[in-house]
Amino acid sequence: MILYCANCGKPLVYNPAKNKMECPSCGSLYEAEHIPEPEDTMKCNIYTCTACGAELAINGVEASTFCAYCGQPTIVFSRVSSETKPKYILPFSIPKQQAVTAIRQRLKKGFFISGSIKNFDVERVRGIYIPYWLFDIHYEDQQYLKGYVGSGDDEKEVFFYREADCDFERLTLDASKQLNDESSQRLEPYHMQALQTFDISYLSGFYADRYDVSVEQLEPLAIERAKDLFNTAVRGTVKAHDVITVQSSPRYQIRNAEYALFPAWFLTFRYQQKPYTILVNGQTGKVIGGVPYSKGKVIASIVIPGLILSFFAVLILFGIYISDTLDSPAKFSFSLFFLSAVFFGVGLVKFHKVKKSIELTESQTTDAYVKERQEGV
Amino acid sequence: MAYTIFIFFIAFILGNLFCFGLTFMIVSMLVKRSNDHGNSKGTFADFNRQPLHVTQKRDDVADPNDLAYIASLNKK
Repeated sequence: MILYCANCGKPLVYNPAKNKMECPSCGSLYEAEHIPEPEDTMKCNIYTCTACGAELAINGVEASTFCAYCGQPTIVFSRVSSETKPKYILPFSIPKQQAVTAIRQRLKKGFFISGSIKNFDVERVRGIYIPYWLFDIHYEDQQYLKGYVGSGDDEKEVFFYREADCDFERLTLDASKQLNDESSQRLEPYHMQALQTFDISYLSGFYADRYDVSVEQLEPLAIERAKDLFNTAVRGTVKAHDVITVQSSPRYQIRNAEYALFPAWFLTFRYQQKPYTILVNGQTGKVIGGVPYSKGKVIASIVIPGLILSFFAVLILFGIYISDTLDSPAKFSFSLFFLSAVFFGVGLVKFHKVKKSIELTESQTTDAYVKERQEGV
Repeated sequence: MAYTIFIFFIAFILGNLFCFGLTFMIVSMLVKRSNDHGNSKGTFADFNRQPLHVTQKRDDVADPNDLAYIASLNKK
């Protein structure tokens, strides 16, 4: 732990001769127990999950019984730590009961969701402030774009030129390794009008995840995000389809970066021995997350109607073929085969998307997080 | 008889493929709707008070990788 001088803010060092903490810069001496807390830090109780390695800062007294990330009852008090104070905070606007109702309404509609998930334990819903870095970025670019206008035989390739600029204000990137970027971006948008100057009293009764990704580490990601958003906006000015950027010369400048805490409700539950986390935006009530589906229900929903429909379809098709009324049976058969392949293709794409979303909800990133810490990275 | 069996076999294969494909697609759509929540992310408008400021806008220009075109620009 580093202690700082109340006069000049420089780090203090222990002087064994005087048995006091001394500031090498201005010479101030302090009894260790009398060192005032710097204005940009706050004292928090740090709880650590022995299962996944998550570290949560809790201001005040809070009985912590399970980890909000992996759902295991293995969270223990670790230490008191001096944490960097955020500049801003978005206070919770959605109370816990409203978050629970929002999750219940979503799950209730899910026919393929197991009953054990639908009847989740309300005590497993916890409010956590997620650390974010807010970037102000000026971005400009000169781009050549390629797109296609018209359709069929009249379709032609067209090139476009655009010069544009914009000023991103408070572009958000989460500063927690615990939460994957895809999940934190899905929580957006947060409305910045409600942003408040940080006050420690807002943390009362909630957890606050500690930032473990520095602003320097996030700068390349912030630029990448600004680039994606900018390019999408530029493509929106082009009246063509399948538009791609073929040449660009971007210039950008990060003008400011500020540390803030944003609210989210976490529901952790376990299904078939795996942990899952559903998130609710603590300001807007938006529910995000892929919920695991019951494989039995999915298979039954495909096989039973499939068998019934197939029975009639085979009879109808047999009647059509045997009656010899088709002009071109081969063409008809190929069309049916092609259509079936399209159906399977669409189905596979949809299932792949759901699977990807469920993987995001699984707390697998925590494993990587623990490994990183064990390796001392 | 062999022809009838062959016709039935074709009808059986195509009928099953079509119907199972159709139910597979419908169920996948229903699963996506019921189990996947909140896919949208923050957009350009969420982080910008002003719309994109376009300073130059030219449509139907030449291919920027066209060497002849670049050469003509250099001559200018």
